[in-house]
Amino acid sequence: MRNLVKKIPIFIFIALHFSFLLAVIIKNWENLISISILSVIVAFLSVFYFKRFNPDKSSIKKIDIFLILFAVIGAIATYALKIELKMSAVLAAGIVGFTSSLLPFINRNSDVLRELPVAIYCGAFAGMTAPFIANGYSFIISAGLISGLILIFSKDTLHGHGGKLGTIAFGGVSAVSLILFLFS
Amino acid sequence: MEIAITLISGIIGALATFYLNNKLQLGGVMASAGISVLFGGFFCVFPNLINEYLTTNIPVVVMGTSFIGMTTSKLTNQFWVIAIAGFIFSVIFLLTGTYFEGYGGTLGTTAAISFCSTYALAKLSLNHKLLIIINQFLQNNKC
Repeated sequence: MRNLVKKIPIFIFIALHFSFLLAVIIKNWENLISISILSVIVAFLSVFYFKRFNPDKSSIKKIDIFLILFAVIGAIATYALKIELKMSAVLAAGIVGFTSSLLPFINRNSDVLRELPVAIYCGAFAGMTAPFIANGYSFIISAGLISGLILIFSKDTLHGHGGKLGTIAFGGVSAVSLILFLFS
Repeated sequence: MEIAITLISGIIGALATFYLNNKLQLGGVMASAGISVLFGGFFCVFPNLINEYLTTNIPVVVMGTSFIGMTTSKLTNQFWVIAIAGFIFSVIFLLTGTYFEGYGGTLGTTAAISFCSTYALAKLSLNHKLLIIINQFLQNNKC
């Protein structure tokens, strides 16, 4: 049972990645070249998850709860910059991420400050959601919250792999969209 | 032409971030966010420098591939892996089009898929090289 719980984060990543690729395959269904390219990508991604080149460790600390809060702050800040100051999503998330990356310089010995930029930048990706999907700050707060939760549970899953934070944010945004779709 | 520029932007975004992250030791977040601010800001200041498609898409592709560049050098220190991942990102980006438009995290998911599949390719090709070396060693010993 404990082993199964430890495997939940990697199952979330697998579900997100393969459902994303499935959607892209369905979109390009009539184009044989696109389908061939995507099939090769699916094959290599399957090899990646099957081989599991870097097994996960699991170590959640109580202080990680802070990371959820800062993921929400990152999401709100990015969305606010985008909506209130009419910035592009890329520039808004970039500014939030860059500002957060300066936080560890306040105290170089602090473990919490060192981890904050990651949480804030992860939240910033959730905050990049367009207004026609988000429909306001409550969506963004919920997406940031779920992203923060996935972030702390998958802290040591796919550690150091590029795109991990964005996948987590996509998970948060998809989860809130699904909940809204089912209950509204 | 637009497709070629998009593909090249993807490779440049990934390599530049990887260089800032691992060679200049800026850290993943600062490197990726810095690159995103640079490209996002540039096209915000000069919106009419190139055509509308590229003005809209280059910052998005560069930001997306900058997530690939956030990969730590403990996983790979080979620039070709990052360059190929950046290229694959651009291909998936072009194939995805506006399907996930507006969903936060789409770029990161594409980046993760690109990197993980390229990483598997790199590992397999390295394993293949290892098999060749072992085979040569065994054959030499038989002789």
